[in-house]
Amino acid sequence: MDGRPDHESLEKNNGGTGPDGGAGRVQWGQYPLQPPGRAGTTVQTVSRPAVESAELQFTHPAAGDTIAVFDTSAGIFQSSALSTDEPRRRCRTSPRWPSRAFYNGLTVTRVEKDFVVEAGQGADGRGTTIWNGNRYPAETTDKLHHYSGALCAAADASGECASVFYVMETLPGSRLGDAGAHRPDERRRLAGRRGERLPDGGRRTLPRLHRHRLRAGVRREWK
Amino acid sequence: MDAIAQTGVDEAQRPTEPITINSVTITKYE
Repeated sequence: MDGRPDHESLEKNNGGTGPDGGAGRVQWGQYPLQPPGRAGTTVQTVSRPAVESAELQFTHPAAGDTIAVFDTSAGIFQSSALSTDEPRRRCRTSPRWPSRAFYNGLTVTRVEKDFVVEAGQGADGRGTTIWNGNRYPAETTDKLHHYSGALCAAADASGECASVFYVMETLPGSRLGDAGAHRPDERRRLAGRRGERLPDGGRRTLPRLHRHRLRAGVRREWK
Repeated sequence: MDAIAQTGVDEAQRPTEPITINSVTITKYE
């Protein structure tokens, strides 16, 4: 995978539709605070209904919480740091915030309609370690999901994370793009469209994956 | 993010018009 999320891995890892079936998004996470600065570009305004949910991702940050502000040539978005456990405390003390200067000047490397926006590759097109030369383990959890607007760290072939990140970006009414497909018939249809064969013939559904993971107490990403 | 998602891309899903990250700032939510 080399740092690039794909439909299948997202389906295995915390995939699923939002509380409103995927129409909404993490409410405060990625507001475009200013219009895009690119001249001659027409941007369609996307109206997203508000979502009320008790889930962690939909919790509005409190004053004083640590957030990251991404200033791009296409506008500004912001995000909080939600870790697997004790998110508030880790926000304040987390050593996992990368060397922020690393990202300055990098470009978005992947935009897949109704799926993800991805960045964080260096000039060589690959992810790199920016935490004192170390990678860090994937922090997957059943508490966080690939809802639209979620800011996520990408795991590479080693299963650990480096510099690459992606933001889920789906349209209201969609089922998180292909990643949100959870019905066997839908999985088979999408796999067929991508020219892939599902190892289980499409019978293994996302809810079954989740139930199994909960029973086993496994937090790591499915391989 | 909606604006970025609407950019044109090539066959490899790379934006045809570069979208640059000017800066990433860690700050306090107000």
